[in-house]
Parts: sequence; C-alpha cells; structure tokens
Amino acid sequence: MSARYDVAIIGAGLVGCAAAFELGLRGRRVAVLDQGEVNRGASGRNAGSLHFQIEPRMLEGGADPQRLAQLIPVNLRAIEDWRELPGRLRREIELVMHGGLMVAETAGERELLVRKSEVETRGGLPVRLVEGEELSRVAPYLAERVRCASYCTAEGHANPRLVTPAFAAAARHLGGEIMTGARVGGLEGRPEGWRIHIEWLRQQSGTAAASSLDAEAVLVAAGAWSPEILAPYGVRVPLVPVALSMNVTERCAPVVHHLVQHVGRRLSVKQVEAGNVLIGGGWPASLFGSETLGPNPEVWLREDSMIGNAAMAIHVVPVLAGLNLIRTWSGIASVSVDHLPVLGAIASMPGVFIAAGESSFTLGPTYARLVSELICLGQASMPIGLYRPDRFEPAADRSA
Amino acid sequence: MGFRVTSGTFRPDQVSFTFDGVAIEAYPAETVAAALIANDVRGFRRDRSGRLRGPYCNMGTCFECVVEVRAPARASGVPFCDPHVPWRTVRACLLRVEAGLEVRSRKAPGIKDLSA
Ligand SMILES: Cc1cc2nc3c(=O)[nH]c(=O)nc-3n(C[C@H](O)[C@H](O)[C@H](O)COP(=O)(O)OP(=O)(O)OC[C@H]3O[C@@H](n4cnc5c(N)ncnc54)[C@H](O)[C@@H]3O)c2cc1C
Ligand code: FES
Repeated sequence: MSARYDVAIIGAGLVGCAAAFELGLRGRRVAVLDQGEVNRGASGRNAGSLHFQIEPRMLEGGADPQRLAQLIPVNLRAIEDWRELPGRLRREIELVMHGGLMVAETAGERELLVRKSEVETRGGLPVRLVEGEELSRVAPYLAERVRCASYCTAEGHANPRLVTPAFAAAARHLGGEIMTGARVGGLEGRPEGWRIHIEWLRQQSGTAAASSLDAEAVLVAAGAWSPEILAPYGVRVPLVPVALSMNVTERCAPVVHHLVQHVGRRLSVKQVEAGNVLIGGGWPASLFGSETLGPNPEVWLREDSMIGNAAMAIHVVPVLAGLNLIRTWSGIASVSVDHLPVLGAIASMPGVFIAAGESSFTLGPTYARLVSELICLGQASMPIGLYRPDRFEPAADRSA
Repeated sequence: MGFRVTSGTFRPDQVSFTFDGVAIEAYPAETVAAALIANDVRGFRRDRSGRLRGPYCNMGTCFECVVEVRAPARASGVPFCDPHVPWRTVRACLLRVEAGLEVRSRKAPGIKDLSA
C-alpha cells in the first residue's frame, strides 16, 4: 500500500516549500517531491530582487493601463507577505526593504515611468517619481545620465540561498516530508485522489523507497518544468522556459543602497549584506535540448550576456567599474505570454492545482498562500481568476 | 623567512615598486607575491576580523594573497590600468612586478573601499 498524504507537492523550490509550510500550518499532511535537491532550481539561482513595481518587460509594446493594473493587487499582497515573513519563519533570510528605483535616461523612458506610476498610484502601490536634486540626494551613486526614477519604498531583496531552505525547515518542523532525488513520473487518478508515481534518481539509504504515494490533492510547483508534468494529461500550461544569467562582484563597502532597475534596459543591481553587488536583469543564457527540460537541462553561459550586463551596470552605477566580477551563473525561469502568473485549479484534473511562473521569488510566498487557501477552503482570499491556468483555452474547452 | 637563490644565477637589474608606500626592490618577472615574500612581508591584507592574511597556494586558486594595485599609465605588463579605476583588486601571486607599480593592502573589513 502507498503512504497517504493530504497534499503531494511537486517541486521543492520556493513555491513548493512555501506551500508545504502554509499547508502544514493548516494541519495538512504534506509530501514534497523533487527530482533534484531543495532550492536547486530557479529559486536558488535568481537575483533575489523583491520588485513590486510593474516590470519593464510588461511595458514592452506600449503600456495598456488596464493590463498593467492586473498585477497590482497580488504585488500589494506580496509586500505584506514579505514584511511578515521573518516573524513567521523565525530564520535569517537577509530581508531588506529599503526601497527600489526604476531609472529612466531618455525623455521617452521618463514618459513611460510617468504613465506607469499613475497606474500604480491609482492601484494603491507606494510609488513616486524622483528627479533632479532629490534623485542625487536619494541615490548619489547613480550616473548623471539618469534623469529620473520611480521610487517604491517597499522594494528590496532577500537572499535566495536562505529563503527556500528557511521555508523547507519550517515546513519540516510542522511535519512536512521533503523527498529529494524523487522524480515524479506520472499521476494516476483514483476514486479517492491521486497516485503519484516516483522514479528515484538517487540511491535511497535504508529501506527501499516506495515507488508511489497517494494524496487527496496535488500541487504542481515545478517552475519551468510544470508544463511537461501536465502535458501527458492533455493540459497545456501557458509557460515557456527561459534561461537567464546572473553575475556577482567582489565585496565592497556599502555603496548601492537600493534595488536598482532600468525601465528601458535589462538591468537589476543590488548590494547584499556581505558587500557583494549582484548584477542581473534578464540577460539570456543558452538553453539546449528537446521540448522537455528533464532532470538535467543543458544551459550554457554566454560571454556577450556577461559583458553586456556588466557594461549596463556600469552605465547606470559608474563606481561599479572599480570592482571585479567573481562569478557568473544561470538558471531557468518561466514566463507566460501575458506576464501573469499561472495559479489555480486544473479544471480537467479535479484535485490538481498549479502555482508557477513569472517573478515567483517576489510573488512566490504569496502564490503559496493563495493556492493553499484554494486547496483547503475552496477559495483564495483575493480574486485570482485572471491567473487561471486555462485562460488561453477557447471557452468551449473550458466548460467541457 | 623568504630568500632568493643567489649562487650561480644571473639576474637583470632590479626594479622598484611600493607596498603601502614602502619601496620594495624586485627582479623583473618576479610576481608581486614572490617579491613581497623575499622582502619578508607576510601580511598581505586583513580579513573581516582584522587578522593578517597572506599567500597560501601561490598559484591563483585561494585568493588569500589579494591586494590592490595602481599602475603607471605606460606599465606594459598591467592590462587593466584605467584612469577611471585607479585601484584594481588582484591576486599578488599572479601579477608580475613592474617599475612604479603601487600596491596596497586591504584593511579590515577586508573589502574594497570604492571611495578611497
Ligand atoms: C537568473 C534568474 C534571475 C531571477 N531573478 C528574479 C528576481 O530577482 N525576482 C523574482 O521575483 N524572480 C526572479 N526570477 C524568477 C524566480 O527565480 C522563479 O520564478 C522562482 O524561483 C520559481 O520558483 P519555483 O519554486 O516555482 O520553481 P523552481 O525553483 O525552479 O523549482 C522547481 C523545482 O521542481 C523540480 N521538478 C521539476 N520537474 C520535476 C519532476 N518531474 N519531479 C519532481 N520534481 C521536479 C525541480 O527540480 C525544481 O527544484 C529569476 C530567475 C532566474 C533564472
Ligand atoms: S596565494 Fe592563492 S591565489 Fe594567490
């Protein structure tokens, strides 16, 4: 007989571990399965930015205010969630919420910031435009060519190498089980829930590991891998994998006091607790392989991304030219066509849920809370209909 | 104690560079680390806790020998002399001495001070 759980979670990244914590708090018996290790996916490789302003990539192709407004409520919730997190987890996550600046150089970029911040202000997001004298006072480290920035006082960063392990430890403390080297090979519908078939990718110590477990509900929290988990059941998850790169400099005395992003270029800069400056912002790495990622996706770093990203950082924060880069790495994120999360129930598979995609470092704790409410109470505490996984399917399919 | 092999060797003329303002004599093609050791300098920098650190692997792997250098504009062997970035972080065991090179050690907390 297979062991029985209330919820089986596929993926031990931030979203999976945070959901295990939230479900554990609600008294659910949870198993988390990961083909690799805890935090070895995007959650342990990202920039750690907590960006609550509307993202520059959402502004591409003209800013439609209505579309932009759709992400504000979940970002507002994320601000609250992060503020509460240190107290809830009671573990060090190097959370800093000193504010973030999205900078503009040209008149066109400034115009974009103005329109964006109007939408944000109307939606209740704490954002204001800072320029001239005030900007040099707030952020003296910015290049003179930066003429204007939208300032969101709640933004900041946390350490991606600490956040997910902190959730995992808190989930285990509540009785959650986390199984690593355990690749989910298939989901089998049964009258009382789902049977999850496991392929063990590593030798398990002790007694032979069971080849399946049973659960009433299943949460797919497998980031960029989510589509290939559900594809065999005819479910199309509207996410595509994107390989991105990150860079980090040697440590230096405090100089960059905010999260810095650029409204028109790919850039994110922040200085972490230890003094290192993290440089990212969506510069690509190369992803090889077939249509599925599998357990060991092949990603190659690109020299042009490393150089381009570093040059862009110096362009905006000139003093960084005096630092050496000490590491570059990559990770696989996943994006949706409309830049909204994929969050909700899978209509054709009762009891199966998904929470994945987009900026789920910033929004991950919030996805986890909302999807846990959906699983336990049948409804989330805020409207999430816009994020439904089948939003791109023709309406006819949906009712079927 | 550091020492140079002297018997049976032929060496070119010495060049001079500075370490924290003190003149150090070295032979061309020596690394900064080798020259400092030969001059009995053991503490190359201070770490976060203020302790002295110095070369460990002498082959570019451990980063224990990190110092900061500033080079005269025409220094040929120093690829990074950039007037906008005076002080560069380098591993002393990988950099060859150069006449006029200025080398400085890092004080606690052992990290780069971009304002100095
Ligand atoms: C370079 C980079 C920088 C980023 N910067 C930011 C940022 O600054 N701010 C931000 O908000 N977001 C950022 N992101 C995005 C963010 O990292 C991701 O959205 C987030 O980490 C996704 O978390 P996750 O738990 O959904 O997925 P992941 O952390 O990728 O975890 C998914 C897990 O599922 C497991 N899995 C997959 N298939 C199976 C299977 N069949 N069986 C068992 N387990 C399986 C994987 O092994 C993996 O551990 C960045 C991403 C990258 C790559
Ligand atoms: S002594 Fe190890 S890197 Fe120089």
